[in-house]
Amino acid sequence: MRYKHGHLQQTARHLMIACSLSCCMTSSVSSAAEPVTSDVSLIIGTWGGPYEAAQYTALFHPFEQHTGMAVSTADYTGGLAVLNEPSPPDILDMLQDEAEVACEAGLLLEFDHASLVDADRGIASTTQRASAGEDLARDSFARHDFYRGVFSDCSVAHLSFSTLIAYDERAFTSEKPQYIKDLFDLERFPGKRALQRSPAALFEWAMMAEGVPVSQIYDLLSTERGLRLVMNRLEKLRGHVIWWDNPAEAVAMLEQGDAVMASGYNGRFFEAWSRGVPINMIWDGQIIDRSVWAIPASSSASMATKLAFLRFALHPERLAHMARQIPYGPLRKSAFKYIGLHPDSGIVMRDHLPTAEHHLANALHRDTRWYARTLRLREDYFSRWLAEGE
Amino acid sequence: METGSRQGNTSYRFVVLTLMGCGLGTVVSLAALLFVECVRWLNSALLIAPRARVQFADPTLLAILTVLVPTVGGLLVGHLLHRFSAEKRVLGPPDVILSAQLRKPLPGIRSGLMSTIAAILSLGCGASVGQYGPLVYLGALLASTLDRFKLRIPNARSVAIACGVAAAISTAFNAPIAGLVFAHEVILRHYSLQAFAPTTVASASGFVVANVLFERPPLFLVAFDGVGHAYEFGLFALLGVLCALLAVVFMKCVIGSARLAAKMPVHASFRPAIAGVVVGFVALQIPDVLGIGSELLRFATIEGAFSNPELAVLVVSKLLLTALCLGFGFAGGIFSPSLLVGILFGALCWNLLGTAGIETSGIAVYGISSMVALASAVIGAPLTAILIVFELTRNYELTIAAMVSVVFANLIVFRLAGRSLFDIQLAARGVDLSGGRDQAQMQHARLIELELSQAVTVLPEDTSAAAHAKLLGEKRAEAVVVDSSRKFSGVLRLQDLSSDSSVLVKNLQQSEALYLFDDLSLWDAMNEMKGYVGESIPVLSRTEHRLLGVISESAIVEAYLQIVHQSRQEENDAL
Repeated sequence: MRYKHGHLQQTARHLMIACSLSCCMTSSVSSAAEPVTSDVSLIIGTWGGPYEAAQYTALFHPFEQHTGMAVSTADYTGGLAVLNEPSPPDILDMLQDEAEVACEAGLLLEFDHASLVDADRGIASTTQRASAGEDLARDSFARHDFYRGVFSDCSVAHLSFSTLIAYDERAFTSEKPQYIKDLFDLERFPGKRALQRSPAALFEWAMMAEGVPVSQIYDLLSTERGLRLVMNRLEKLRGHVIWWDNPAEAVAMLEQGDAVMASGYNGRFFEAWSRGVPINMIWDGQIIDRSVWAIPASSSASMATKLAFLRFALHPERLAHMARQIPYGPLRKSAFKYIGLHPDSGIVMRDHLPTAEHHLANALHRDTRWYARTLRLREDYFSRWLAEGE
Repeated sequence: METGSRQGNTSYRFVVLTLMGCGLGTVVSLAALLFVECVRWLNSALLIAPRARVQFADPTLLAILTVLVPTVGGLLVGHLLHRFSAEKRVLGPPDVILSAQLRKPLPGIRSGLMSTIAAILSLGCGASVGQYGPLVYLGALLASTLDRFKLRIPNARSVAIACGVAAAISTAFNAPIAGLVFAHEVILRHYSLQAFAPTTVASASGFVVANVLFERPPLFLVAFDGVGHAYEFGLFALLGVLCALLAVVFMKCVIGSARLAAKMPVHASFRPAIAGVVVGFVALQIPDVLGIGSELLRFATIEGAFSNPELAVLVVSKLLLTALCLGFGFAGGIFSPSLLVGILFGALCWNLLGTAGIETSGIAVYGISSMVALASAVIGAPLTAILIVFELTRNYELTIAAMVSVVFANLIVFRLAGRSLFDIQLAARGVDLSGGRDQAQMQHARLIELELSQAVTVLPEDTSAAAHAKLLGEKRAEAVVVDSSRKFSGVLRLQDLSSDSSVLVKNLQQSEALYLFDDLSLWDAMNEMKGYVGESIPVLSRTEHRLLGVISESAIVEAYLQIVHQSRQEENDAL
């Protein structure tokens, strides 16, 4: 595991930090001179790229400032392997379905959600703006401020993101692909597709391309017949796919013209688009998923510290700050009123969230439990199909 | 439901009927949603739904449960109905039709509840039955609770039933117009404004509750860009004809399976379990047969989802299993299985057209036309079916194509079998609706319910003179000849009397004279009376031929006119 961003700024003992948060102390930020040793820092496993950069600005750095605690990050690209390592990160930013599997396998710690919600009063009063603080405190008490299904035994969801297809504007000068079925239409939209080497999302899209409404996608994918149809659909793409494993590659392939369409995450595509890369996203058939915070069972830092971080990270203003950096939707209703413009480009971020009204016409919410329990079945079908081509 | 002088005025009726529509619409809609939700939950919990099955880790246990669940479900359903329902059978649309057509109350509320619970269990444990029949009954059942109030509105019961049924269909299909039309086409069988107005309110209320409050998506969206070739309308008509033949086979199977079940030396409460075992074992090979099969319905609109042999096997197995489940006493309807068999059959026909090299406008239109053609012919509701297509798919072109198939299917099934499976089932119970509701009501009204007059009786041993004196004394032209135990022997008319006063009555009486039995229906009495001329007709008890009294021809005609009058009034009432 590679540790980055060693922003080790100041010292503070775990107990003091926990106390400073829970006892509503506003003066917790102490002098920023002394170096810190790694055993008192918090290691967070997350996804790198523009996403991690946004997290650093919106979350890690403010947390460091607020608590005097140092945060460092570890590269994480999904999967459960990291959880079996001797020293996994203290907190992991996971996909919800993988967290579910890991939880059932006992690889994650269970924690009490009540402590995350009730402590909001303390966090609210530590924010600089008093009026906003009061406002927040009032909003935050109600547990229903969180969307349904945010809390589960071993994890708490913090943002929603979208897996979708983006295309290279330069490749299609006349008709542009608009619908998810266009991904499979090589006649009208010829060119290479950069796709994640995984059945995730791809199976759903193949089913959608058959005209199945989103409400029935998982019902049909649960049958052998449905999976057979998916295989037939994928067969049409054989020889026209470049596989990627790291989401950064998807953007790069579009940017360099290696592929004309690519699957990927809306945040990364947005980041490239706002840099001026000529790409566009197909919101039809987007798959909305959630990222969760989870605590690996064998992680070392103290529980109080980790919960303190989670409380901080779930604060509406932190969530909103995150959404200002990268268009991932907060999972607290009160957070939406704090989302404003992108700090550099001035883009109205609310319009670019996966959950924006005009993106939801044909959006699929991923069934994480189904995902967790059908992982092997889908992997089997997918790897058999891959092997057939070799 | 009183008639006569104590009826409320127009504004009172307006208010009550509107409130009835609104209230029933809302309550029935919520109940229907609860019903559907219960079934969905059970399907998930009992590993019927593919989405639940695929997530179940242990294949051996899954196989065991696949057989066990419908079997145990069958046992529960059988015992529930047998122990706690007075009718000891499933209640469904035929009972509702009967109540509305003959102005009779529905079976008891307890029986209705048991039937509804049995239906939830049947559907929940994967029996091959439909949910719309039980939902229709649930709507009518809730409406029948209004019977307790004296509303002082003519025909309030049938109007309430129509409201309940409309709301149930409106909610279940998310199709308010179809709900409205179904209540009139299948249940009321007339279109009076008095019923139409509150039923519309109920249907709309059901729609509002289901759609606006709970945000349910349209049930069956399909993409269809229109019929490409004019000759395809001929194919749709042909498809309708084929569907009609399949519908007749389906109906015969359902009826035949019920007969077979009745002949089996197994107690009625164990019969559903037999069907459950069969469903379970078939499902081990073909899991698609379990439950309502909404996944199959969708697959049938996707080109290449099935091979021809697969389709043929599914059509046959679903048809036979549905017949088995319904005949052996699982609680449920026939409409959803008909939809499923129909759409699979349509997909098969489309595949064959492709093999024959005929160009078509895609599988969806053939599947859906066939689906509604078959289902509408089975339940006798062509107009409802056409509207269901329209409201479910929101596609005008598709509706027009389906309309052609629906009409041909209904025409032929009407000729070959009758108006619907419901009417055939009712006819088996002695209520023939094929001649219209007047006839059915007359068939249902017993002669004994009419007031009989006292007869002038003479004994066979009386002399002509004695009989003459008696007739003159009573100022009557006819006397009934009975023996000492009032057993009927004949009729003696004034003109039969002999001038020889000592001749005995038994030598003068008309032994072939017309008489009627008390258990005859009004309809049969009218038929017996054809060509009858006389003062009054003796009415006898069927078993011992004892004289109960006499009835005049005019009394029978009056009873007939009253039935006709009531019906015409119900059918033409504005409010």
